Amino acid sequence: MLRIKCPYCGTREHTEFTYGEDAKRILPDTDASLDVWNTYVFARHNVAGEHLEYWQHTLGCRAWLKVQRNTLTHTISWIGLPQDTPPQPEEECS
Amino acid sequence: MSGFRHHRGRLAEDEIGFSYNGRILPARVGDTVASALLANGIEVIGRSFKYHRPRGVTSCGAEETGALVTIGSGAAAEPNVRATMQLVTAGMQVSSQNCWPSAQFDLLAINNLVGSILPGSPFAAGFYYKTFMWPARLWYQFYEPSIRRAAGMGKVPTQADGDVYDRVNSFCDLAIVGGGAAGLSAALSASQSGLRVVLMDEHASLGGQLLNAPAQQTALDQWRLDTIAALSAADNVILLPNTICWGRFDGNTLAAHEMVDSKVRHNYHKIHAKKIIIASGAIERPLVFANNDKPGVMLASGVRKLLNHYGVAAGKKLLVFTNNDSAYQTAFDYHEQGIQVSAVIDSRQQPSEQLLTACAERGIPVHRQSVVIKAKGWHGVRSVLVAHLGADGVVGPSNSVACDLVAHSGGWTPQVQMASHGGRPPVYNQQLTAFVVDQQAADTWSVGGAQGELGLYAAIDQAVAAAQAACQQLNSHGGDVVKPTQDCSGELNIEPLWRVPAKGKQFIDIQHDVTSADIRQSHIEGFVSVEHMKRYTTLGMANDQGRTANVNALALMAQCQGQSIEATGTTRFRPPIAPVSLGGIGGREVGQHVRPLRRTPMQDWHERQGAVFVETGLFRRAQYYPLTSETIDEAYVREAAHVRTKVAICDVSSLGKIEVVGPDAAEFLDRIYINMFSTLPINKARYGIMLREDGHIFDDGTTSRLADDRYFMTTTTAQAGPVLSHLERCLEIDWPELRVRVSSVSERWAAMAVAGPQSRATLQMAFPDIDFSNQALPFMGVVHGEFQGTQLRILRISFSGEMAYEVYTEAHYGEQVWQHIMAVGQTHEIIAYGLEAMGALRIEKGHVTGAELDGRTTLADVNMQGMASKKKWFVGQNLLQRQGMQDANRPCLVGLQAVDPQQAIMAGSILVTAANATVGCDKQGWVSSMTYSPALNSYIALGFLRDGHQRYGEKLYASYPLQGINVAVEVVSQHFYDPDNKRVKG
Repeated sequence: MLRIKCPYCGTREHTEFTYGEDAKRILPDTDASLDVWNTYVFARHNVAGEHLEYWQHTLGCRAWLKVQRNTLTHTISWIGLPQDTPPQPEEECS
Repeated sequence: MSGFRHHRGRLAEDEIGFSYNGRILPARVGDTVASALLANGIEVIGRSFKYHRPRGVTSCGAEETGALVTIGSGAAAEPNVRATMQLVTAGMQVSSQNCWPSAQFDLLAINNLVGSILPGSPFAAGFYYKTFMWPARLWYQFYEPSIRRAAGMGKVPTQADGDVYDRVNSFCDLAIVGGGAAGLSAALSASQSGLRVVLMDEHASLGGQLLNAPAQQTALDQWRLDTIAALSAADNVILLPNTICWGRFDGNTLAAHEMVDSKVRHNYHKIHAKKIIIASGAIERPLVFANNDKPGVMLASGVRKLLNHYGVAAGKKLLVFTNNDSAYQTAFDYHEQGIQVSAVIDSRQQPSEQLLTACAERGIPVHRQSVVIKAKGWHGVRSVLVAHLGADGVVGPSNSVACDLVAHSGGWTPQVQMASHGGRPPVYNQQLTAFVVDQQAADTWSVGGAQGELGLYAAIDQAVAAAQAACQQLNSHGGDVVKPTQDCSGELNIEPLWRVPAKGKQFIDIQHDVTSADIRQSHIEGFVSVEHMKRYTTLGMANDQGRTANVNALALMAQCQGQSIEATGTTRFRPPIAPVSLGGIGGREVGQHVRPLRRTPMQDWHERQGAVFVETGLFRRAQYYPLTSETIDEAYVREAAHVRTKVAICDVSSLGKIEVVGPDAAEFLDRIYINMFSTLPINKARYGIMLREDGHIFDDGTTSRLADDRYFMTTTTAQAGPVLSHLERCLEIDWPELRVRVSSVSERWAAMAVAGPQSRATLQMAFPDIDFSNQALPFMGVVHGEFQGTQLRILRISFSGEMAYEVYTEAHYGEQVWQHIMAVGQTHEIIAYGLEAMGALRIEKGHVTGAELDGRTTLADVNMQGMASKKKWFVGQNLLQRQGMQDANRPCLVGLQAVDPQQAIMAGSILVTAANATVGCDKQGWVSSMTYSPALNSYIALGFLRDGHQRYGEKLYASYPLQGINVAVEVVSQHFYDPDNKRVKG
């Protein structure tokens, strides 16, 4: 059972939150090629380790949050707002 | 009939009565079912899983392998309860399992003989996989039902469980798993810090193995009682006896199951702990010899606890069989109480002088370097065969020793399950001859027996050190603990004896009837991994989870493989480590409380009218309003026809409603919807479709513009939540520069559709201040008004294809407005219509809903590609261009009309060209929704068909092979009724 510290609401149980998506994807330009869009929508890194991802506090303040979670241990090392960046760049995995 | 009540032990004097297989028996308050049955001389309690061998009590704890009983009867019956863990209560009903006609005389015991005569017979390792394979049809007719009857445990009641279960969510600084000497010490130390401590123990009495010692051995017992008293007095400590902690999860969450003696049957505890101390102790390991499953063969520690704690002698003539020092104490305690000890059989060459002297003083014969090769007796054990164990492992000639109770000990197994949850594999420790977890998880300490530390003082030291470390990490100070004045050495001086090298049925996993021969068999058949061996033999898969079986099985497997136990390794432990009732996990969320019910503002009205409801998400929506003795079909056809001829009203409050507000609201909606909303005039509504990023249709609905910077969006009932999340995601992540706020107003507004040729006249009467004329409120117009001080928002939109309005009002006044419309509508014979009639009307019009917009369809599939704007970008536009999405062969939406108008088309049918479709025929499409159309007097349907538009007029068959239904249909346009849309605009 994870407990997630929402910057607005404080620490709550993960059942209040909904996993969103990989937070390292970058929205392509509207006129980008089909390939670029295809990669954006479908291709994901299956990271074993630190992963930057979006969660929504669905049953709380409904804010979208950026979360750095270790996929091996489920340890959450950082939580911020979508425009924030984690203090240390996490290791690049590919 | 050999067990008896010898003295009081630690139990109260009060006697209570309980029934066992219909007989009323006496018990003491504090007795477990196991101790009470033994006290009454009952030896055979049930029959085994596969072989139907007689089984009795084998232990005194959660590791019990033999004594499984059913408690209670009827709906309250609980099967497979470990008799050693269940306290007796007055009037409790206990019954034996898996035997017929009785545990004492069981007809299916024939399995035992078959199993012995034929090698590779049914019930040997892997019998599920290789027996009864052929012919296949016999499997269902004969093999499966007869095996089910023969093999198995207790029967689960089929009636609904009437008991109440609860869930408890709690938080603490330190959770301690296990209330033995180590757990109690850790709690006592931590209690002095003021931190919040929770201690759980699976037994009713705290103390763990301290309870094995005699009650009058005051030093230990006094320490135990003083410690419990101190903890009970501490405000910051919660003691949870009768509570088994069955899993450790991410974020230091523990799951525990409490057996409660009150109106609530079980409590499920979810405990969020900052720090965890695992003091789950160690359990004794059995020795592996022939007939070691016979009633009367018990773990030595269990025999000792029965005597000292419950005052029950499990036999009149004790024989101890051991490979270590710990079992001697059982012999000494029995001798002390004046019960005959016939011998100690010790497999070691040189047990310590001290023990030998102690035995000699008591006149207990010790057979060194000897083993029990077989227990004998018809039901219970009456004698054993003892033989000399040679240096090369060969057993010499045997002689018989009389006894009716065998207390055996093959060493101790630390309870590492909790420590290894979360992925930490236990590793083999040669000195302990057991697996321990050497790498502690964060915020977790494993101490005492659970970590292989069996000495009393040493375990207390370890526990206090852990408690102090945990407190320190929480910026507090754990106190010191005064130890009992008497230590108990944990020295085992063990010499491994994994299996007595002799013939016969030697059980490894008693509960699942897995023998040493099964382990060898799996090795011979090439199962190399322990995980495979486990699954092939089903070892460790009974409700004791192989606690006593695991290490012996691994050692035997290693022997077969000619390698070390370390190299063979162990299986992983997963929660739950003990049986957990589903009732507990469900808690109070059963029946109608499984999910919350969302009520619309007019719900009471529908209920009073006798509406029949249908579940749609969390809503229960009115499906139809039957007149006396009307069927569902009659009712919806009547209601739908009424809409087409007069006027009717429908509750549509479950629609999602979202306000989109801000200077960039128009731009935002242009990106979200495929069509334009920035060009929408104020007080106009527009139907819109939104796509997912992958280009498939996401949702549809009507959105109206209330002001330059304010829109009122409606979504389908089902997608209200996902659409809101999508809008929020786009605004917060993709386009933070857009100055827009979205907020759900679904609960703010009651919504009702008023539809039919008389709808305008009805509403004009109901709200005379509003001008409902075609000029003032044309099709897709929006008007605002008031009714008795409450706000009205009226949209002239239609889902039914008739002239229609959606009336929105403040939720609290929903029923009032509804009733007002109903009252004035009497003049025009207004009725209410339900979801079923609404479905019929929309299918007649060819409108799509969730059955068509199922997340896999594209705009072109539902003939709406023309709606997509070419002047702007919108979500999903890019991937809509994918080849597969543009494929001309994709099935597209068509109407289907039954050739015989009275023949119903099944939703879900496949569309084929031949009347008698067979497997592998060419599927042309499918039927998504169907109805009887009162307007056409015919069954009609919507469906998806390859090249659909080119095939109007073609005859096909809607085939539903599961029920053998084939309906001839004609392909038509999806717009069955009023294709020019004249009626909505009138």
